[in-house]
Amino acid sequence: MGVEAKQFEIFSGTGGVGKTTMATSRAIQIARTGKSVLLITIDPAKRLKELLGMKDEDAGEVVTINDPLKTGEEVKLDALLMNPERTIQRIAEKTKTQDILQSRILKILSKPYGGLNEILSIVELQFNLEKNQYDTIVLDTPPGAHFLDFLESVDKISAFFDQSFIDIFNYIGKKNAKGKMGAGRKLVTMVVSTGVKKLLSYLQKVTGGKFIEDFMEAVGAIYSSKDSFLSALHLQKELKSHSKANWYLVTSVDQNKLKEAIELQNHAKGLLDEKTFIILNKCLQERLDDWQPEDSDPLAKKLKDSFVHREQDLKEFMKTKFRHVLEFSEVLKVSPLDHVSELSDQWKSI
Amino acid sequence: MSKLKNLYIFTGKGGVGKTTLSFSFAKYLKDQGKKVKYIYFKTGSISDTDKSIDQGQSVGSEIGIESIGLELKECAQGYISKKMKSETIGKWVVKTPFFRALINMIPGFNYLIYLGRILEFIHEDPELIIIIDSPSSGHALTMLEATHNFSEIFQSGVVFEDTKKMIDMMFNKDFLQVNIVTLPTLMSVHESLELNESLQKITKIDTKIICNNSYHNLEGISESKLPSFLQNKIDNEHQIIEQYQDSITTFISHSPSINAAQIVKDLIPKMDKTL
Repeated sequence: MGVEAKQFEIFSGTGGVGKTTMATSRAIQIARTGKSVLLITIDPAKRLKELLGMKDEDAGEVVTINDPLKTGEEVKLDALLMNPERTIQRIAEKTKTQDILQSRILKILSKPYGGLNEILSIVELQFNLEKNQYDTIVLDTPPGAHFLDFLESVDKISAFFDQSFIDIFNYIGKKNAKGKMGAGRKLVTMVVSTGVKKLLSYLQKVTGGKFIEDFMEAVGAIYSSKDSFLSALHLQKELKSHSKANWYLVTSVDQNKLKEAIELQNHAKGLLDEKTFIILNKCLQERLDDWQPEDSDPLAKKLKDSFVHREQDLKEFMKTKFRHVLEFSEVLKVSPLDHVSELSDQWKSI
Repeated sequence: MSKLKNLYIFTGKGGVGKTTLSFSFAKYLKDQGKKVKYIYFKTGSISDTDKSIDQGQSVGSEIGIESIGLELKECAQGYISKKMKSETIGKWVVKTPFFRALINMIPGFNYLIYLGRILEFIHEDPELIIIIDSPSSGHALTMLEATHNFSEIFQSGVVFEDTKKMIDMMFNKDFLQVNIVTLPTLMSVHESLELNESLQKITKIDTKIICNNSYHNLEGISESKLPSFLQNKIDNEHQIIEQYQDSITTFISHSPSINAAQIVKDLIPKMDKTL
């Protein structure tokens, strides 16, 4: 019984479906089998913090959580809340260059909601993988369409370092081996002389010259740390391999999200295929079977029908599309920790 | 009815019913003779293939509300064309790999372009009320922070001037209201309060916290007739209400309908409570 844990356990979903709770319960269940587990959340909403009683200052650091359910059992797991700023610092430490820390633009964009979250999380994942410390890494990805951003971020990295850029940077690199600040201006000169002149002259009119220079500097800074970014490219292959990764698409029967889940799957072709595990969260079937509204109560009947209908439609549909459909019944508790606790038990018997 | 704003943003974590409530609200205003536009964002990056996800926007046509999906490439192209006074240049610029890398590596940029387009709609027709069905919480913050971040980034030039104009327009109390949609669960309420706090940090924004899909106020059904699991749900809700009644502006009860358009219609009479 149960689903065998792989090196990567990746949770995606439309959001609000209990993705973080589900990922956490899975991590705990795997940790109970004696494996060393790292749980990473990329979701900027940071529900993991609340679930595991982490502090704000823990963001960006791997924290060991002993007895996560506070029941006195001897279970521990490591947890990490993504913090883009901290990842940038780590990149700087690794490449021994300060450029990336000094770029004004990167400073703004690596604020927690600045927008570089997805790309930096791939880099962070790669860093943690290199530690060779974990049997399993459980990943709680950003909700809905941002999950696609997460997947695409790897392509964005490679597009960013495409040959034309690399030629330019190699040239700059020779002229300015230390990658000192001020590379921005040189970069502009260089790019202008390689025929992108027209584009930049247009852009300068719109964005102002200072921005183009700053942006070039940021690009230069990222380029000086390119190894960190490019190593993230290898990761995509690993994540795609079914022998190494279990992918879970979390849906919830209390939402009319059927269509959205399907489109998400279509867009993520090659990653979410028929081998993806579909999680149907908040199922009510057993409880609904026990409920017999009286004929004199049409509203209760209507309510029951809507519950039954919703759940059946979703189940039937999922079973035609996917081989593995996992049903979790709704946890009727207030405390989030109780939810995790019950779900981690349900994982065992699934 | 209190004075209406020009722009209403519905945000909150995924699956709380932002799209449903946005449509109900749009329809509520339209029924009162107001000019409304429902807007959502189709893509987060510039690409040649359509990667947008229908998050229920097709309901719009069923209830007679036009839904406009903004597309990043078009908006960016339109903006640059206008500034350069040439469509040819605009078209060419968004095609260049450099420009794409620029926009795609700096994701907050897309929101700046989207917001610019939205403010243009209002500029063209000041009577228009725009309802934005925004991305889930964290990303809504990215969106509203974008204006401030980018005025810091640009410092000079046309975009800088436009961004400044945007901030002046957007963060005016009479202009914008952010509706944070939540569910009657502890995690969801906490998240909405956190988002509200972060929004207030950007600048004083008029916000409402709307708790959707609650069972404690179901109409026409007596609680005692409900099965124990629903009574259990209602008990849980009461615990949450007790703790957070001062923060939550209004509760919208669960709609027992199945059809998405019908659910939108069911909620229209409750929309005056969100103003």
